[in-house]
Amino acid sequence: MFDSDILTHSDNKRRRYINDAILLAACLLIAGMIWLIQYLTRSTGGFVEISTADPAGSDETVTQSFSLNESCYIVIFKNDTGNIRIRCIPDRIGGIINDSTTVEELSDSLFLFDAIESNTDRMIGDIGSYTGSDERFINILHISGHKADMVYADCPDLICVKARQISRTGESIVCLPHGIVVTVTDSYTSGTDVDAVTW
Amino acid sequence: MKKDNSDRTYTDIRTGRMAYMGLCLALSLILSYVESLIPFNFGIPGVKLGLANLCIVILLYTCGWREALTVDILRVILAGFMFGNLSMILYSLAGAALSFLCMYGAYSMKKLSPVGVSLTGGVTHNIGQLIVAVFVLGTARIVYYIPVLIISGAVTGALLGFIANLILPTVSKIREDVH
Repeated sequence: MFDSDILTHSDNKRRRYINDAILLAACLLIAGMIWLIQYLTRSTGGFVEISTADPAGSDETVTQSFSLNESCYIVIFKNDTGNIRIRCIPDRIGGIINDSTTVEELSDSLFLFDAIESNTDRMIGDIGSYTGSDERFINILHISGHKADMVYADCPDLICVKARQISRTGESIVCLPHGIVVTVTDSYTSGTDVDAVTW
Repeated sequence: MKKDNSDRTYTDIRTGRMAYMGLCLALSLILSYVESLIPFNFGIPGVKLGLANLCIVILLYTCGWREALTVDILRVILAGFMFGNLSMILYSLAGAALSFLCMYGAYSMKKLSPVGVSLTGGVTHNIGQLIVAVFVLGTARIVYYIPVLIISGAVTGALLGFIANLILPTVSKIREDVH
């Protein structure tokens, strides 16, 4: 268990440092080449694909695509019964990602609350028989100005909300506790029907 | 009356080693706290600077792989309870397991100095977390972030290895106390 020769044999030390430098250079080179390839083939993506995987391990995944040219709030909502629904609520302002969105509960329904506009009349969904179970989760993705950003989530670590806005093909925002992956893609992947709420 | 090592019993050595491991565990928890303060978000969870690997490398060189593995697992669990949640513990455990395996392999090959060992630890930690995240989420799209993970793991690992290189000659006296 003693490795005292690493501290006393200077000959060996130099050879080992050279090995380290080679290893570091190789890592940086490989990573740099991959990044270069990604940089040269990047494009501003046209669509956002949202796939939700059930963290409990079942195989049910719901995948939907939305165009980045729209201006809307995408609400990913899982209620008590375990159904995951993705709704698209149009954004009336458009143009910029609004970070002040929250969710409010009023009389058994959930509403999208915009702190800037100060109105709560955009209903997200019916809670139904929600009695405060831990299974429910909500993530809100705001698509505006050809970018997408997660503006609200009730996961404990909020990494998805703190993540940067995504707009290029391949970039992604991940909410690991809820099993949600939002990726920017080039093409439209058809999934289940979009539950669009229109005003 | 100076106590020399021939008077020490097995129990003394074991206690000394346990105290030293506790010290390294506390240090790694503080480093975990410091790295939780530094914002390092890339939209992919589990990307950390990996500062706590410093203690694991030092333990690996001074005490051996069993002690380093123990402190590694304990550090992941405790830091997960203190600064994270249960799912984070699982991902960190996977990353720490792969990183420890590769660090021990690099250490026993005797071709790398502490800088190189720490470097492999950092890179494989990030890659291990990425692999687990790919399996859990069921999508391979987040592999897009692999260059960032490799570069950040390599750079922080190399820096930590450099620091470990500076610390190890000073703590080499600990070996006499714990062996």
